[in-house]
Amino acid sequence: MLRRRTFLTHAVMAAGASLAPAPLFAQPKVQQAMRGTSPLLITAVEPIVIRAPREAGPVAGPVALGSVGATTGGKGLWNRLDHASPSRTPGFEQATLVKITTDQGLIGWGECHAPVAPTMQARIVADLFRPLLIGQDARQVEALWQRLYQSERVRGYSTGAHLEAIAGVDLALWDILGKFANAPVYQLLGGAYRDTIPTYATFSGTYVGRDRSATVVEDAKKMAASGFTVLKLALRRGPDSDEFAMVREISAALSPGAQVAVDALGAFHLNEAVRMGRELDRIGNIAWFEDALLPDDLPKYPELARSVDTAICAGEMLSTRYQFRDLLVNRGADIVNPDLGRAGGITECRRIAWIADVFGALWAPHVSTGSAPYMAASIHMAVSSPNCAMMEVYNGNKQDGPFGNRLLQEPLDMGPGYARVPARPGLGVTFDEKALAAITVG
Amino acid sequence: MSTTTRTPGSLTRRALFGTAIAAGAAVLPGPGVRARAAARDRQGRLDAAKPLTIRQVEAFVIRNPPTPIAFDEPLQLPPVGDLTGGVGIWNRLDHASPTRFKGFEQAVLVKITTNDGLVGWGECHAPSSPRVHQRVITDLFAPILRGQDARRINALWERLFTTERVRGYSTGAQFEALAGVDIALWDLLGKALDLPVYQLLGGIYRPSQPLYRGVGGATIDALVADAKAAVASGMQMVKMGYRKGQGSEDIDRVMAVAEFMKPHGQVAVDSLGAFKLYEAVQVGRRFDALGNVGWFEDALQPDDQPAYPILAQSLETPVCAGEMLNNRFQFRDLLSTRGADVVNPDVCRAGGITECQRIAALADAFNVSWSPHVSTGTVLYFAASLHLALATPNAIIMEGGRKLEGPLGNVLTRTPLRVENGAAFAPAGPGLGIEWNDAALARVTVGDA
Repeated sequence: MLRRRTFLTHAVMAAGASLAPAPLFAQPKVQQAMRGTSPLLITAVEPIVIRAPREAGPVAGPVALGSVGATTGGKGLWNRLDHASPSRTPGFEQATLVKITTDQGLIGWGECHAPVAPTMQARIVADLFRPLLIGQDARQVEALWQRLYQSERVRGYSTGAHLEAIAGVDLALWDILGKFANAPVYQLLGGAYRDTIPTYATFSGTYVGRDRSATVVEDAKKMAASGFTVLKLALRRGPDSDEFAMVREISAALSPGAQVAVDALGAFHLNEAVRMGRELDRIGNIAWFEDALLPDDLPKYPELARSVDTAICAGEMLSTRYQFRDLLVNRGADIVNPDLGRAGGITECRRIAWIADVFGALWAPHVSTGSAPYMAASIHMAVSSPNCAMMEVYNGNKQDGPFGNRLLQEPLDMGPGYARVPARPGLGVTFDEKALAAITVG
Repeated sequence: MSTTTRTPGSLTRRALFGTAIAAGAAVLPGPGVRARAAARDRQGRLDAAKPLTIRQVEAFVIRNPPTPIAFDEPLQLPPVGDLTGGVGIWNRLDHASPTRFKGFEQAVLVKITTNDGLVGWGECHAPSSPRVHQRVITDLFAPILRGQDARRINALWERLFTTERVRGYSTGAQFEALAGVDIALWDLLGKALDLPVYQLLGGIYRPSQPLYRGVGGATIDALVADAKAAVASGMQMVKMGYRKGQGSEDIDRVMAVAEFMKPHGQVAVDSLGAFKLYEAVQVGRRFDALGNVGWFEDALQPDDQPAYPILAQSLETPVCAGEMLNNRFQFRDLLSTRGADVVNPDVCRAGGITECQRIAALADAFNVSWSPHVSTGTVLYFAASLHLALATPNAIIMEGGRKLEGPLGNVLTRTPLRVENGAAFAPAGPGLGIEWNDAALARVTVGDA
């Protein structure tokens, strides 16, 4: 006797795979031979600086920065020293990869967010971390993280290239652990909540102040139509600025449900940030107001968050759980956006995500210039975390760029509005050695 | 092993002058004076309209013994998972032991040269991985500094901070590198104006700065003997470590030194971030009972800063922190919550003279004393700390009491700093007042192996 329910199931199965509920994740076969015996000793730690010309724009000098004493150019009190324009490397994308080799042939790849002077992170990995890692069991990821942090902890190295270098090593160790276990990193993190994470698109700063034409609004509409529900724009100038006009225009042009996030990159003083935040409140479809204040102005975030209805976001400028603790314990942010390649890697960002969770805050990985280990690590963390809202991508589908899928044997699946977690062991990143060699410098 | 030792001052016009002058009378002006003439008119006045354009920014690794840095250099750190070795719950993960290069003293010197040939020297505190600071200076800072007017110290400091400020680089090698550049700019300005740096900072509060130094010894007798030697040299405070849980390191050692120091002054105790809050309170109360513990330094980790006010409120012994902090914002958070009674920023770590001057002023606004942290480094590090200490009202005492006697101390300079009765006198020469002994400096300047 065929009951209706059973019948339906059979019918669906016969109708083809497209209708069948696919297993959430393909579980890779366990290859015992890969596992070797304990321990898994680190035999080499190599920082690799990669550098490629951007698709568009001229190749310029190594480090660019506004002139000494540059001001914001606003009116009256809005015209003051500009703190919000960091050093850039125009024309180039750069990163520092970390390759860790073990005595059983397993190799892990990590990455430091290092857009401007990647030799700094490379030197930290080579001179300071390498001697501390050689001969250690690569699987002791937590304890090794602690060891690297401890190397300069009482000298106060709690931010900057030091933590970016730790991040690079940490990502490589998680990659090794995953390959050792023959499981994707998300599985080691406790499993995934979803197999994709929504992504939002950050509009490049090249639009700002350069092209106020209708094409920018058209580009935004196209990007939203392609699948991005949140677009992020720079907003570093006052309420009368071109930048703010563009935020208004684009938010008005987007269809219902879509949102604009604004990123101030630390441009404002508290009074200015409150004023700007209230202007944003009136617009309505603002996803969040990001980095309104400088990172050293952290104690003022709670007052900003209390004064503004729009969600307050901070975190890409912070490193380590301690800074996030200080931000969150005082309710200084509604969303935090730590960077996997900066704030201390997967090990530290997992703790940061937990801290955010206990304070009822969302988090969204900051993903800027970088290549596959950085992207993949962010995706693994994002899908395995309960309070991760979305993930950043820069100018649409990041994987089209010179640091994208052209470097990989198997592409990362990142389309408009989503990123799919790789089901391969470790971070799921296998470089095409030739393509990688072509952009490796020094 | 190849000896690719680089010589920062040699094979240049400056070195040739130096040689000529060394052969002549001692009263002849140093080589810096000759170079300075380019920026001055006939009356010796600085041509204010003429910028001191930065031509070159270099960073040199200083190391004693002067072995070139090998690729396979061992770095010392306790084993993974090392515990404090204390009793019961005092036996937990040890956070308080950083990396060490056992057997080496290391630093980075920064040399800034202007188009006129004027040279300023600065130093980064860089005891464990000096080539990192070298990279920050040559790859990030130098491109920004070249072509700029060296006299715009404030604005240049701001520029260098801005390079990575919104990327959150507020500590570590970034700030130590910034310190090195900043100190070089002050040295340069002093040489350009023919004035000592302390004069540019507003002049001295006192002719000399009292010093203290660390004491040690395997036995209590040896420890007290070392303290006795420090007192004999004129010092009124000594410092000793007390880093682990009760039971693992003998509190009797602290008691013995405190007892000895009673007629002479105090003993300060440095814990290098060894304790959790409750441990620090328990240890601190024992120091309270001794009565003459000068201060209880770095009881907590720098990332445990919010716990400092509770510690400070709990103890009578002054609580000191600061060598682990890097910028005025961190000190603001410590001081505005009354988390320290004394702060000890390191001039070669916490952003140089420019930033530490602000930190000292901030401490003063909270009626808190400061004391320069002076650790591994050269005579220049000592000199930069001294200039700032002398020019600030609330500098109470300075570390590094025996630094000048060491292999990176007065031996490196033709203008040795004077210490009398436990206090250091301001160098009278222009800038920081350090004229290198080029040959001695070349000996400890190392390259890659």
